[in-house]
Amino acid sequence: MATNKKSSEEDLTRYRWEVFGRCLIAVVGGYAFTIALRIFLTQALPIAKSSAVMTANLLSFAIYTIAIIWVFSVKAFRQLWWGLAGSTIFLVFVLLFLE
Amino acid sequence: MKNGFRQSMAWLHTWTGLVVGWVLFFVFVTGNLGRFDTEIDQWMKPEVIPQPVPIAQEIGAAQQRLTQQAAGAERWTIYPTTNRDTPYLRITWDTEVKPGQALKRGEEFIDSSTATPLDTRATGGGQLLYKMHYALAYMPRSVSNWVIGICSMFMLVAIISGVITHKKIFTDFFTFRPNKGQRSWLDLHAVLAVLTLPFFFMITYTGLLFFLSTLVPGIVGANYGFGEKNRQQFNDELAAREYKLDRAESSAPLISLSQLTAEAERRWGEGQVRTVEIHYPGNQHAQAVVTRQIVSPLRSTEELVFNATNGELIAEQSATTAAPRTFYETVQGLHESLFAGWWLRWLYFLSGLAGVAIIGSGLILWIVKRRPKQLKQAEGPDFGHRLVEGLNVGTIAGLHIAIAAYFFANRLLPVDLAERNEWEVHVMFSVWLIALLHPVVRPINRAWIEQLWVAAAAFLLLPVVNAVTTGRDLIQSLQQGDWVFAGFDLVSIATAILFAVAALKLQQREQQQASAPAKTRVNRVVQEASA
Repeated sequence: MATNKKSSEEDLTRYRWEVFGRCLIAVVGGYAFTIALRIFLTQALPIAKSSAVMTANLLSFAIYTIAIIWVFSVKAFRQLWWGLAGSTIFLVFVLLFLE
Repeated sequence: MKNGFRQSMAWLHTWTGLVVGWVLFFVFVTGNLGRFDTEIDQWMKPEVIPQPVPIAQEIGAAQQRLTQQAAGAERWTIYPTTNRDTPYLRITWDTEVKPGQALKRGEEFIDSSTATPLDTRATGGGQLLYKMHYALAYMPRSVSNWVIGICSMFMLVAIISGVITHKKIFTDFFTFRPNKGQRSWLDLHAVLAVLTLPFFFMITYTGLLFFLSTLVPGIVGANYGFGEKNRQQFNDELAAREYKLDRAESSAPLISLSQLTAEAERRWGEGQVRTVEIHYPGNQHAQAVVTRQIVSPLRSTEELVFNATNGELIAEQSATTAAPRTFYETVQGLHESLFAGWWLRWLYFLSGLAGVAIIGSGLILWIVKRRPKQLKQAEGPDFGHRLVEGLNVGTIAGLHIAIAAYFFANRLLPVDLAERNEWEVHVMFSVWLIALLHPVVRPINRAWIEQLWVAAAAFLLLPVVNAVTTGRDLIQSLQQGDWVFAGFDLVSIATAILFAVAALKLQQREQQQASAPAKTRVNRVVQEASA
């Protein structure tokens, strides 16, 4: 009985850390990803600069929402990190390449 | 996160909705009242009754007052009483405090027969109530922008995850099972959400777009540089305002601005002028921008740009510009509903009420779902559970009492009280604070019933207090066809009835529960015996 209780407490602690971690990744990681994708869009869209900026502006909250939803829907924690870090680094590289 | 995609989304929906639910409730209630902001303005300034005045006289009075009051300003704006949004002639002026920073705005309502400020009680009016939905109160915009922006982002996530959670969108459209406890709350939550989903999504997304420069400034910054001036340059470029000049060294007197509105009316027709904006008044490079009425969701309008020192027409701006800006101006216009006539305005209001009900029922659902388990605990419900319950009572019922108190303060505070308009707000938030603390000292069911009754009584009393203090009672208003006052009274009474019905229902349930335990005990004995 005692060990059972202990393990369920451990589970709860782990669960709480996971929730905290996912929130952090969703908010901060999602934001970084959104900014990176938006800067990429303003460089890549073949329209006037001000229009490209506005288009990226309009899309930003949709991108952010999708990123957040994705963070909470992925099952394994590791997959999550790779996904976000990978896509952000990819965008940064494309950006540097464009410039 | 959880085992399945849908379960994860249900979890996300629950918690994103809960943590900011009360702020969103406040935003929805005050924002929704904003659909009738100018009508509430008129109710809160009962001593001035809007009179039709020729536009030339209004522009003349405004120019006279602005010359006295704000000669060195960067920009003046004049709002003649040509549309619903300005029942009184209004002027604003923007002055530079520090170079590169946002301008400081002054504002006045003007009596166009004397060119002096309108003689009325100091009140925040419906405008202030409406402004609270994006600026809150007692904090600078730099803080409230973040608070509201983050809460709105939570709401957007809650909406999308909520839609994913609900697989039976079509069935939900027709499903409501009343008097079934948790089931009914869930049905109500879902049926209203499905019904108003396009509105709900639009209002949230466009609400967020208002905070673009706060929440994600990096994108304009990366392309144009940061700061107010660079943002202005981006806006001008996007709106194709090529006529814009910098301030000149020399000064020059303004021409009579009513000449310019006369020219605009000649081109567009009578009553078509919405605003007149003057850049660098008194400067050699002074320009006047005359804008046309808003007739569609597209809130950018046709503009005539004049040289404000000699009246020469410099440019004719089209309402539509680059596609992304036109799109932006259209969806923002949908949010603000400036174009809406009466029928559409009421539809907006009802959709907003549905939004209030969705948020409120969501908050209640969280409690109802967890209550049975919480009540079984030996040491009573958790702190978190009691906190949510208390906030629910103090917000869902209490906020309405506070808003009623704001209206009472408008009628009952002495007219010559110093900073009277601020006291109206102090009264509102003191009452709200009391309403939030009340559930701490009372059992939760009692707190609900008591606050609902107080809300009902307050809204029933409002028309009475109004009649006593202004002499404009409901019967007289109806006879005279004064729909601003009659409408306010009628909506007040309807609100009172709604709260009274809710209070009665809760009381009935409490009585049933009081007699129920005996029965269940007997049942249990019977069951045990038969086992």
